[in-house]
Amino acid sequence: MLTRFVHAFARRQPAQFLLAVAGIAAGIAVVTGVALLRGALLDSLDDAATELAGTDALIVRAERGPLPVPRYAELARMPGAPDWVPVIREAVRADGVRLEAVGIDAFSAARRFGVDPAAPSPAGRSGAPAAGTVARTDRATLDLLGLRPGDRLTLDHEAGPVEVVVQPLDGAGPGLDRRLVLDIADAQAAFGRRGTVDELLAPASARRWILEHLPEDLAWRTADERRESARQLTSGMRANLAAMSLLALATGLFVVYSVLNFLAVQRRPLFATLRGLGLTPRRLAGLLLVESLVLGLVGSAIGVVLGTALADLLLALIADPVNEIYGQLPLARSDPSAGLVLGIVGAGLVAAMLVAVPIVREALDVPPGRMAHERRPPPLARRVVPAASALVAAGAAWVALDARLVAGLGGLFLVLAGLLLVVPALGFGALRIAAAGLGRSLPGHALTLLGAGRHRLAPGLAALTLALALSIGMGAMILGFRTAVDDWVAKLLRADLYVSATTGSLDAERVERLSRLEGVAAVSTVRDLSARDGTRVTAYRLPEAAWGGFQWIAGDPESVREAFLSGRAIAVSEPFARRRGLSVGDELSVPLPLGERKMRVAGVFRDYSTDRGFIAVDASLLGRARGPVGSVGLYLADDASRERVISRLAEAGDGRLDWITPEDIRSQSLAVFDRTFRISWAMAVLVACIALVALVSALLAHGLERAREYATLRALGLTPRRLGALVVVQTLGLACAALALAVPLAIFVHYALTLVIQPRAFGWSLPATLPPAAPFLWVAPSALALAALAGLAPAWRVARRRPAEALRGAS
Amino acid sequence: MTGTAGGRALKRDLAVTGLVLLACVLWLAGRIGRDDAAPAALDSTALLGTAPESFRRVTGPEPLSFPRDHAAHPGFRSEWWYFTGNLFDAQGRRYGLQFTLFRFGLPEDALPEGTDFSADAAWMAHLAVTDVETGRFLHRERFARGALDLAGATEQRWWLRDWSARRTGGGWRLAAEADTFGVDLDLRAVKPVVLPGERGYSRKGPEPGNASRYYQIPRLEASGRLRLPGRETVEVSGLAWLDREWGSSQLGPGIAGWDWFALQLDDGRDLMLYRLRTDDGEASRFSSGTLTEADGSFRTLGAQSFSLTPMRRWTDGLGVEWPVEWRVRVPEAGLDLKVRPVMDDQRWDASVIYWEGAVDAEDTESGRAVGRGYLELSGYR
Repeated sequence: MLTRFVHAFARRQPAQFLLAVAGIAAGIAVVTGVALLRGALLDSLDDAATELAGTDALIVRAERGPLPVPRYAELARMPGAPDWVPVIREAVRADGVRLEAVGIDAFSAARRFGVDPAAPSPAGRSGAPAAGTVARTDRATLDLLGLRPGDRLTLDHEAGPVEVVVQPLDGAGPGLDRRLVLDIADAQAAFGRRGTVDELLAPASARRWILEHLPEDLAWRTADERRESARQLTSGMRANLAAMSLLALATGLFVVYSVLNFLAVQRRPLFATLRGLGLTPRRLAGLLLVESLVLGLVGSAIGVVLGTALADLLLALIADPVNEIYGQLPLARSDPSAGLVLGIVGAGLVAAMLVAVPIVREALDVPPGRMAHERRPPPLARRVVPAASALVAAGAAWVALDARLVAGLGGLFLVLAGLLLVVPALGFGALRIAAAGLGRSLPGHALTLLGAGRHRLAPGLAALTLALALSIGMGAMILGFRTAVDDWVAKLLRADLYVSATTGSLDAERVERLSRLEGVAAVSTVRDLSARDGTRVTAYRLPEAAWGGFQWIAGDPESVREAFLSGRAIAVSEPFARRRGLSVGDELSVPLPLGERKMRVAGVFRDYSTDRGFIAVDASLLGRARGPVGSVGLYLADDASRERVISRLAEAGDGRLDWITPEDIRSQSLAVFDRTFRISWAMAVLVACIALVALVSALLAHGLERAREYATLRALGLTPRRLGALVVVQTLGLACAALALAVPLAIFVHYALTLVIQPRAFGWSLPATLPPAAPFLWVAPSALALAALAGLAPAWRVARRRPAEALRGAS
Repeated sequence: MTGTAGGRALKRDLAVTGLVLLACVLWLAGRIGRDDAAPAALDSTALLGTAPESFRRVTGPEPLSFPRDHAAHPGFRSEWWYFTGNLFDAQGRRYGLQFTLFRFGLPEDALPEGTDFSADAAWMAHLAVTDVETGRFLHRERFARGALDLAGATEQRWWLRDWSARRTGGGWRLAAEADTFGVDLDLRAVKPVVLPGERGYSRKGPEPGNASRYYQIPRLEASGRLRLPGRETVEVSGLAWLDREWGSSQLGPGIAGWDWFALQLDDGRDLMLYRLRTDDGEASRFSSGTLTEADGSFRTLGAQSFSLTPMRRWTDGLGVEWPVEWRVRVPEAGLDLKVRPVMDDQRWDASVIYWEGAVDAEDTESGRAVGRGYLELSGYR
């Protein structure tokens, strides 16, 4: 019977139930989306080795550069040696999607993916030689590329396009997402890789042999270790994502609360009648809880589905930057597990129940037979100020006392929560003042009426304020960061041209020839070395003009220069210094080709190129092991023309040289930057949308509750149109109040992200400049326009109601 | 609103809600987890049944010459070097031995250029030791491509990575180490080469190419060491058997598999029989055998000269029934034998699934042990 009551009500007010479902679904979708995205960033990170050679696979590489094939053959024939899986890895693109082509020898310890070893070519042609080079990949990657088995695909590779036929790789796990597996012979031929392989994989059982017999010039590590370092790389990014998803959930819960609250308000007469007919409070409570449970279940289920789709969209946004910055390939599609889905649905149900508790309490307060119940709003400010102060103090203390990223995010949360507590009081205070200023005009009246509903409207107002503050604050941080990176790149690039080899590196002779090119006054060289433990050392040979490129955060520029050039000291990038806890004067063991050497840190310089950080040394420290360099900067004579030098380079380079101007490097860096932060923008927009839903539902609830006042106004001669305008003015008023409060909060968020979160997440600091105005200027008008639009729904509802009916219903 | 109308609407809305939930669950079920289908095993019959046109066929007898024909025969689709044996340690404990090198030729037009890994063949090696006392069937499979000297067969050496059989004065030195077990055996031929079929031309089907080149050394004295898990290296000795075969598309159409027997009898005779099984489980008329006398002379046995009857089947973990016990009758040689496995589970669980194990032969009438050997069962599903 009760079910029927609820159902009959739902049928009369389907929009409200749908709104409740939408609110839960939106919150759950964002949490699911971000949880899956975090998984997608973690799960596939360099897990190809495990996929190819089994759990705990071991990876053997040459200390530097690829491994010559004869060396591999020798290792493969050693007594007791494992059945190495030789691997070639090449970065390719297909239809703009970054992929990795992995060439393996399937006639080895490689896991078999239903590929016939007696077929003409193991990972390659399956019985049909005319079909062309076969590249196998998992179903998720085929779906990502929109391909079907047997389709032809052109891979863009630096050596030129490569045509392959794609085939499914059955039984492959997510570690092979975005990877195309080719037979190693095909891969060598297609990518011009004859002569070398990149690494050898061995099954876990080979550990003992490797420990005892692996030649010293080869390094090995486990796939787990490699995955762990990849995990650390992206930890900052993942922490930021987690924080965003929790904020989205909090906003989603505001929506659910507003909607359920609205439903409760609307049904107050029904509850009163039911209580009058003998319904016990207990059964009423049960009824409401079951109702929110059903709403929670349906909303969560839809939310998980939407969230999975959302994760795929976000993944598309994030895949390229993750690859560019971390050299990692994320999953081809999000990979929900049953545990995660059940966990999130369970959390959705619990949240729906928790949100329902205050509403149930309020419904139980409705005395039997009474049609309405006026609840006196508690004096907001008096109650919340102590709690707010406590939260802000706790948050600030946490940030101050604990230097970890989690403390930064947690503290920021607490402070924001504390500030939000006082937002409604301040907001309604401001509205009251505005109403007083507007006097007895329609807007003045509209805003005065709002004050009476502040109890109803407070959550919506707080949600909107939070969303606006986050969107603006994040936008300001990103733009500020972008400017900092732009400045840094512009200052760093001192040469007029940068030259590198089309493949491999430049040997000393070629560098020498470049320096003798007509019009070239000086050259700088950069050589990257990676130590066994992953420490990056960059050896510089810098002319006078290049020195101004460094921005010193610590250390006196002149003495750094003198100590650095004489090879007595080193400099470290800021992220490196922060990760290792180094400051000027500290000693550090530097892995150099001729052995480790203890050296003094003379300076710390600003760097945004890698959040792992690196050590800068003078090239003279490499001694005779100077070897080939990665890139050469050309400094032109004052009277030389760049165009002419470029044409000489083209002649001398023989097609084996690439060059780029500093302007192009700068615009490319900014393009990478923009791609990296696309996901933050997307999240900000999502949070703002959810907040708007919260505001609309709060206004709908408010409109209903105030039905009697509105009806009186109508009876007193206010036209439906003017009444509608009144409601729109109320929405706009609320949005204005939210905006006004969001501005200081946004400035706070900007500085918190710039000064606390960025250094803790990535190791670099940003200059504490004033927040850029652009985000304020974008967000404010859009928020107001959206709020006006959002006000139309409640306005239409309120204006449509017949005054007599409303008065009767409320009397 | 009537109660019934309300009830119907309620039911309809509940159904719609249920459908929405069901749709979500179904969609998620499709997204949860990855396809982790286990790769299918290779079909040994199919491997031997077909070959691209570019491969050479065995179409008639041709003289064999040694040591030249110990080496690989490029141009043919498949070839194998097959040692089996029964070994005993000083305490009389019994071991079965199998070492096989398979070569699968790759079509020449499939060879890419510009690579170090171009291979004319893929190689597979199988090493197995049956430890009767502990009931363990130790087996290990390895692969290599015929490139970079990773695998191959010359007159002097047959190898895959570090597993090898090197020619010695009187036979071969077999050395192969797997993770937990290994063999190091000296194999000395005590009988000359035997040529089954028509001087080594072994027809297996009606088409001209349904044949293989086949030679065997049915008796080699084995001595050396076995390494077994959890035990010291054990000195062993016994008898081994070498089987060599190559060809392309040797199996005719309609063949489901084969049952192959290699028995070394105490009276000095050696008996090889194979039954090619048709799809309906009958013996094909191309089934054949060879009886080698103690002095090394041999004669071919036609399909009518012998009968093989399964007596008992063993069911493996996959539910496949393997006929592990047989009655073998060769009236013209006066043989009526019961062949029993030394243990049931000698099934290969690798890329190719087959049963290859040590057996005992006893006289059916007297029940007396008269020999030992190896049995190979293939094509059972």
